[in-house]
Order: sequence, then C-alpha cells, then structure tokens
Amino acid sequence: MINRRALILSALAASQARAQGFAGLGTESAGYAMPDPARPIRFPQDHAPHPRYRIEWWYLTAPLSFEDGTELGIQWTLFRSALSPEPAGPGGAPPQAWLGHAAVTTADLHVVSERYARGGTGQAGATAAPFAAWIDEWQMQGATPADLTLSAAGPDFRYSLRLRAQGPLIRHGQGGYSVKSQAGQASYYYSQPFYDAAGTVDLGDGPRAVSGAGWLDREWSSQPLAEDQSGWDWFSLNLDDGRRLMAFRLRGAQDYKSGTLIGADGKAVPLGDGDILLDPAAREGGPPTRWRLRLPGHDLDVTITALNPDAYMATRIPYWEGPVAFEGTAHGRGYLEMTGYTNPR
Amino acid sequence: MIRAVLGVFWSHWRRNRVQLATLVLGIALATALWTGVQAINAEARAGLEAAARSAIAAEMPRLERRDGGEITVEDFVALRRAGVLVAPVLSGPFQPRPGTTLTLTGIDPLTAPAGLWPQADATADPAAASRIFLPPDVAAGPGQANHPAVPEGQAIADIGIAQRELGRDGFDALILTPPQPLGAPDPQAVLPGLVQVAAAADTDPADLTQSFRLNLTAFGALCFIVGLFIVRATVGLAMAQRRRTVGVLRALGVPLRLVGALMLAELALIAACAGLLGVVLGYLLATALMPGVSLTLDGIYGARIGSAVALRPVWWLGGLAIAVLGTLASAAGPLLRTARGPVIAAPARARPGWLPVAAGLALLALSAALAVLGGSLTAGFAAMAALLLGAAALTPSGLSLLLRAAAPLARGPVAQWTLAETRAQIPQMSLAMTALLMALSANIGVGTMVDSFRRSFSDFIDQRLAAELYVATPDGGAALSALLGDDARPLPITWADAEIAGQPSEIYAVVDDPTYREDWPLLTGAPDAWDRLYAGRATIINEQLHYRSGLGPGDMVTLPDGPAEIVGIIADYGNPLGKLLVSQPRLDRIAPGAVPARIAIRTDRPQALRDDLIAGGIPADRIALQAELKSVSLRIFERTFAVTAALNTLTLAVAGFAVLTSLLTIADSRLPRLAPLWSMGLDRRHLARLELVRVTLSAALTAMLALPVGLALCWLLLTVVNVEAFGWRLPFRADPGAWLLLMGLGCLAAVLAALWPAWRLSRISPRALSEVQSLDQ
Repeated sequence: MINRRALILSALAASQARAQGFAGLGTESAGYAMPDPARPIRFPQDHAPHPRYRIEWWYLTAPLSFEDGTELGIQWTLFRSALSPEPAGPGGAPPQAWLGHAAVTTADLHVVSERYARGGTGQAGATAAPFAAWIDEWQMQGATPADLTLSAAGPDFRYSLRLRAQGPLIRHGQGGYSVKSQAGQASYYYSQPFYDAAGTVDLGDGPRAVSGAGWLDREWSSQPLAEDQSGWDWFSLNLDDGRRLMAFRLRGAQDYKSGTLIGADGKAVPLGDGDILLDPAAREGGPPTRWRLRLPGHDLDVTITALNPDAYMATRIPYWEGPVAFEGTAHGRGYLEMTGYTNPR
Repeated sequence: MIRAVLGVFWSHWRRNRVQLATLVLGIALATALWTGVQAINAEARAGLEAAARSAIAAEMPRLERRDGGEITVEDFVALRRAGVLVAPVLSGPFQPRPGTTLTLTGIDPLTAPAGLWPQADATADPAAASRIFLPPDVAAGPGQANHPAVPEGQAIADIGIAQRELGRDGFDALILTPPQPLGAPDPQAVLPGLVQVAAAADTDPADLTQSFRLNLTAFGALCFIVGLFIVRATVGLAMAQRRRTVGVLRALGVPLRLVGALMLAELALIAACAGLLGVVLGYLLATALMPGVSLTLDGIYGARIGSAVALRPVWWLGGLAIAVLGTLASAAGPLLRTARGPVIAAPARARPGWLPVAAGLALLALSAALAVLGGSLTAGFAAMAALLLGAAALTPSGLSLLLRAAAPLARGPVAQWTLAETRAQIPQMSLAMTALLMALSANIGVGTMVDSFRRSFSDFIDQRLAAELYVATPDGGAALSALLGDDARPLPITWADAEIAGQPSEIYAVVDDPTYREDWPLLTGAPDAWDRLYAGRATIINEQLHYRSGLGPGDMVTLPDGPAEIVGIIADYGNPLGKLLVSQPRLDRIAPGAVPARIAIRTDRPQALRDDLIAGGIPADRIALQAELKSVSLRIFERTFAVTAALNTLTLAVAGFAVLTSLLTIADSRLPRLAPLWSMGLDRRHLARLELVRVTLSAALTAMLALPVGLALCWLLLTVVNVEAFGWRLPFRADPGAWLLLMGLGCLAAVLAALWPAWRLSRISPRALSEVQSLDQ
C-alpha cells in the first residue's frame, strides 16, 4: 500500500500541503531522509519509528464477526508527522506531531474518533521493543509484532483485541522499498497480514465478543506521492484459501497500480502495473464501493463489495475506509481505503 | 424630445429645491436607519461570536490541583493515557511591548476543544502555532500576529510558547473536553490530587443575550418596514406634485411611455445617490452608537470587543436596494394612476375608501391567525409584519373616525373649522401619520418588551442569587462546612442530569429553607407546593420543561426513581435545559453519592464571612458575593437597553422628518384653504397657530392609535417570538408612564416638524394670500 494513510499528518507538516497531491503527500521533502532501494527493511531495527522521515504510520484493520455471525470491521491508525527535518535543539529529535484514527463499522453503523498529540511529552509515541504504538489510551502493544494487544475508544464505541500472527512479516516491493509512481516516488512498506483476532467490541450496549482476522501495515516515507497524484484506492484481502492480496491504484495524470500476492506459506510475489486490472462499478457522486479486481496471471477475478457504503471517515481530512467482502474465483473478506474523492455528503 | 423632457424635469427641481432636498433626505434617512441598524446588528453578532469563543474555556468544567499548585505535563499525560480527554490551559500577564499588558492564555491547539484556538483549523497552518495571537488593536511585532477572534485585552499562544513567555513549567488547569470516550474513568480516580471545579455561581446570561440579538433582528425588520414607508411617503408626494407637469408634457404630445420611463430613470438615479448618502449616514450612525453596543457586550462577557465598524457589503447593498426598490415601487402607483387618467386632470384626491380598510382588517386577521396557529419563529415575525401593515392601512380611517367622534367637543366656529379641516386633510397627511404610527408603535412595542425583560431579569436575579455568598466546592463542601459557624446557613446546590419526559434536564435538590419559599415565587402552583415537595412525592418544574413536555401542575412525571406529581412551575429565564426541583432525600435516591458542586450561604455578614473563608484556606476565586454578582448582572442589561433606547429615538426622528416632508410639500396647496379665513380677519400668526394645532391634533390621535398597536406588537414579542425562540415567556409589565412619554415624544416630533412650515406661513406676504384668493374666485 501507499502513502495512503499519511493523510492529515502531513498537513501538520507543511502549510502549502493541500496544493499538491492528496493531503500534501506530494509536497517537497528537502532535508528529510529518503527511501533507498539499496537499503532494504531490516528487522527488528525497522520496527522502531523513523523520525528523520517526514511521515510514518502504524495501521491495523480487522474484518471481524460477532458471535452471532454479524459482520463488522475495526480500524486503528497512528500517524507520525515530522514538523521539521531538523532537531528542535542540540541532541534532540526532530519535532513530531501525532494523529490517531479509530473506527468501528457494521452494515448500518460507522463510528469514528480522532486524536491529536504533540511529540516529546509521552502522550503519543512508538517503540520497537516492546513493539508499541500509542496515542492517549489507544494502544497497540506486544513483545514483538507477532502477538499484540490493541485497544481504542470513542464517544460511542470501545474495543479491545488480541492479535496473534499465524505467518511471517511481508516486505512489499523490493525488500520493502515500495515504488508509488512512474516518477519513482517510493516508501518503505511492510505488513503482517496473518493475524487471528479475538476480543470485545462495545457499541454502547456492553462489550460483545468478536473474532476474525487482522492486518498490520507499517510504512514510512518523506514524499510518497507524485505531485499530480490526487488519491488512491487500496485493498487488503484475506482469501479463504489462506492467500493474502495487497493491491493499490494511485490516481494521477497516469494511474499507477502495484501490489503483493502472498501465498498461504508467506511467499510474496510482487505485482506490477500490468498484473492488476481494477474497475470501479458505476457510482453516484462519492467513492465507488463496488469493484472488480482481476489478476489474469494468477486466475483471480473477484467482485468486491463494501459492508457499509457509508463508511466515511469524518475526520479533519476526510476519506473512506471500511470492511469489504468479495466473491468470484475466490471468496473472503478484507478492507478497502479510498482517498481523494469528493464526498457527496 | 428626450432632451426637452429632461430639461423640464430639471427646471422643476431647480424651481422646487426644498422639494428635491426633502426627497433626497427622506430616502437617505430611511436608508440610514436601515443600514445603521444592520451594521450594529452585524457587528454585534460578529462581536458576540468572538466573545463567545473566548468564553468557552471559562464555561467548561476544569480540573485543578486541590492544593492550588501547578499541574505538571506528567499529570496531563497520565490522564490522557488513562482515557480522560483533557486540554491544558495556562494564563498570566504578558507585555507585547512596554506599557501594554495583556492576559496571555496558552492553549494546546492539538487537544483543545474546537473553538478555543483562534484559527478554525490549527493544522492548516502549523507555522502559525509558533506565533502569539494579539487582538486587532494591538500592533504585532516579530513572532506575533493579529487575529480578529482574539478579544481585546487578551492574547493567545500555543501552550509551549505561553510557558516560555510566562516562565512556567506546568499548567493552571486541565479543561475536560466533551465528549469523553465511552467508559472513560473518573479523573479523580486517576489522579487523586485533582479536583473538578465548576464556576462559583451559575448566572451565565448567554441565552439571554441570544434573546437580545433576536430582538435586535426584529427591530431591524421593523426599521425596514418603517424605512420603506418613509420612502413611499416622500416619493408619493413628489409624484403628486409633478402630476400637472406630466399632464402638460402629455398635452404637448410626449408619449406617456416615454415620460414614465424617464421619470423612473430619474427617480432611480436620485434614489441611488440618496441611498449612497444614506449608507454613509448609516455608517456614521453606527459608529456613533457602536461604543454603546461594544459596551453592552463588554458587560456580558467581561471581555471587550472591538468598537470598529466594518463596511459589510450585505448591509450597504441592502440599504441601496431599499432606497432604489422602495423608490421605484412607491413611484409605480402614482405613475399608473397618471397613465390611466385623462391627459389633463385635476389632482385626484385619494379618499380613505373601503379597499384599504378591507385590506387592513384582513391583515389584522392574518396576524391574529399567525400568532395563534403559527407555531414557529417565522410565523411570529410574519404576525408582527402583518400587524404593522394592517395597522398602517387602517390609520387614515381610524384618524377619520376619531375626528368625527371628537366633532361635538369643538366649541366655536374656528375650533369646528380646525377639526373639520384636520379631517379633510387626512388624505394629504396620511402617509406621514402612518409613518409616525409605525415608528411610535414599534417604539412602544420594543420599549415595553425591553422593560418587561429588564424587570423580569431583575426578579430572576433576586431569585437565582437569593443567598449572600456562593462557594464552589470541588470537594463536596467538607472543607467549607468546617469553617461555617452558627450564624451561617449553608444551602448545598446538588443536581443530577437526567432525561425527563424526553427532554434533557437537571434534577436539583432543595433543602427545606425559607429562602426557597420566600424568594422563589411560583408562576403557577398549589399553595402547599413546597410542603408537598419536601414530603418527597412532588416536584416543581421550570417553565422550559412545562412548555416543551406539555406537563403542568397535577400531572405525573417519571423521575429515575419513580413517579412524582408536578405541583408548581417556576420561571427560569435563560436556561436551555429543563429543570426539576425535588427534596434532598429524593435526589439522594436518584443519584446516590451526588455531592454539591456549589454551596449557597445565607448570612448576615457576607463580607466578613468571605474573609474568614479565605483565611481558612478556600481560594478567593471560588467565592462569589451576591451583591457583586447582582450589580454586574444588572449593569449588563442596563447597557443593553441603552442601545435600544438610542435606536428608538432615531426612529422617532425619522418619522418626524416624514411629517416635515409632508407639510412642506403640501404647504402651497394649504394657501387656498387658509386664504378665506385670512380674509375673514384671522391674522397670519393665528393661521400659523391653527396649522400647528391641526398637526398636533393629527399626531396626538395617531399616537392614541399607536398605543394598542404597540402593545399588540409587544405581546407578540413576549408570548410568541420569545417562547418560540427560547422556550420561556416573558411576563408583560405595563408601564403607562413610559407609554405616555413615548406618545408625547411622537407628538413633539410632529410639532417640531410643523414649526418651520408654520413659521413660513406666519411670514407669508399678504399679497400671496390675496392672490390665492383672487385666483380661487
């Protein structure tokens, strides 16, 4: 996936942001560290935050079900944005701002909460060991990314999950160097797509047990979007046969598609622009909540439908994010994120 | 031909300069009145918004350290990490440059509740977060920026910058920002050293100031109607005077269409110029009145707003539109009449026929129907407009009726002639008298409303602030109780939030104390209401809950612990919520463990007790003296009403000008009516006196008609508009003295307007009178 998620934070970082790309992600990045294809992602070092890069995020999505089978999904996101490439004082770290988004989506409900924090106080932050990311009481934590607890709450919801990885970490692109445009914009990007998730979700009527799958994305960069790119459509799909698929399309003067097909054994196959066919269904106004996705080289042809078409994130920079289900040559559930569309409401 | 016609028009104005001046001045004054009120209204609104923004921090519940010390960054982080949403605030004196001291408030724009930070979106311009925001009237130096949302005397900065400027490491308080997350913990359980602090006394007049704004809007609408009327009066007379010219032009072969088009174009040009003049006058007027408005808001929020008046397109364009559209609409009628009439005709004398009477009665019926059946704020305003227009349509007939009724009172031929002549001249005077009626009735209506408002508020303050001392008790009052002797009676103020009859409400406990029985009068209720309340099974509710739920005395209402009978209703001006009073034991059942957030204290020595409490360790800013609160609250409203009074005076002045215009424009046509009296031996001074008497009589009768109209307007404002807008009814308070004064002022305005024409008459050459007489024969 992409630059997606950097959304708002980058707006904190640059006043001229909105002029370029979505949420300023195409903004100039002078002074910040840049991803280098010669330097692949290394574990466990790269579990730590990367303050010399302009933006970074910890992103967890989980398509879940209540015990009666009712489907839902939860989202947990922490964004970090450097306010300057230079340390505030001698020996200090570059000043940071943090932003959290959390949401619970059912077929007829979509509740969202948003938190802000400045760096340096402990109100928000992240560490590599233990593997932790937090803002206020929202928290993702475990000794390693293989076993996490996750919690968040808003005025009308509260959830708490345990996530246990059933497979390896996946580096996207070239050892984690993930290209985002024809012009060569790139980010570092790795995922843990193999979580079993279980816990409770409270929608104001008491905690109820839930279970399902989970998907963690970690990504950092300094200028992940080309200036002409206005938004993206990003998919994470859990196939019933145990495979996982990550695919995205960046919309710009010329669309740019990329992805990773992950075998049940964790073997990752990078997908290039020509490997992915992606067609939105007819839509009225807002983002398309029905899609056809094909991987001709892998005999995959699925129709993807949003659980709740109204899953707009009513956050300061709005976007659409929610659980989906798909059928066709494969079945399963996943998450969809769409940015840079006009919200019809 | 066009040039020739324009030449004729021009020569008319050159020969009748006074007429041109009155036309221009009339339009300009009407425009000025409208734009002035609009300007004040718009600025008051903008100022209220700025002031309201700065008031948010003070209105929100805060956490402070029990020992009064600084809150640390670690305390803040501990609460946030526990799931309590708080935002730090810090304030202290700050000198942007030598000789200027502001109160600098530090805010964390990332966690502060929406509206506290001056910019709408703190994240849109992060570079701004490193600046100190100053009010517009303080010159900004390096690292500083002016922002209109910063109230005078204040400065706002990021909390980190405020800490640096004030030399502080911690915070004064943490604001609890709503809404808290689901299942958020009790902050005191997270950090035992903190206490939750509410304001010392709950006299927030925010909802009352909303009412003030609404009344200003209503007044602006009345001014619009009065303004249009004055334009109509001026233009109608100007058209009538030129009817002969039009006749001559048409007789000479100029097509009516061309004459009409040129007259409309000419009037539009005059109206645009006069309107522009009016906008400038309105601006000057607003600037002159603005310090008053500023002062009003100053009192309301304790924060001064700027007194500058910005020239907003909305109101100056609106003013121009009034001038031009009002003029053209007023000219259309006379033009049409001219078009339908024969080429040369004697000036038609409009008589109060059946049509205006029928229209007036229909409008009054519509007004009554809207008031009774309307059920919305719009219907309330429409009812007011219909009432005013209906009354205007009926004014000439009403005057005629009154004069006919007065006829038997006249003794002697001169008196009888004066009375008859007054009646005969009603058509000529009707527009001016209607304008006077509208101005007077608007003044009586708004004045009575304002007076009712003030007296009700004063009573309300007596009720709300019955105790001599109020103390905020974040600890539930334990520390305070230990300090109180036998000579002080504490009245704990404890409440619980609940939804009652579908309305968000507060349930208050009242202890059995004479204070409530004596100082809290019931609007309606059983004589033994308080006894039954203290017995535990009954409740007294506020007027808001009564109107919204439809529940009244005798009805049962379901409280969280079971049913209770409503035994009375109390007034509770300015409270947006429903309120129920129950006995202390009953509230303990409804909300076990609820402790008083404030304690009212009855004492004979408030000042001394206050000093004792401070000496005993209660922070001074948690104690409020009733006497100080009362005087502050009442002063706020005295100022509010001063502005309304200034606007009233202005309306009367404009109506007076309409009378002057009418008299001047009909002065020439008066001579043939007066010449016979002169030839019968009445000297010119006597004639001038008779003219004054005639105008005074018309004005006095108009004032008599204006009284019921004004009272009806007031009734609409108090019982329809206010109830629709705010859910409470203001009791009507009659003030005959004020009404007489206003009626007297209306007559005075008319008499002053008549003085100059009368003086001209007294100095007119006898030859002019004799010529008129000979022409007449």
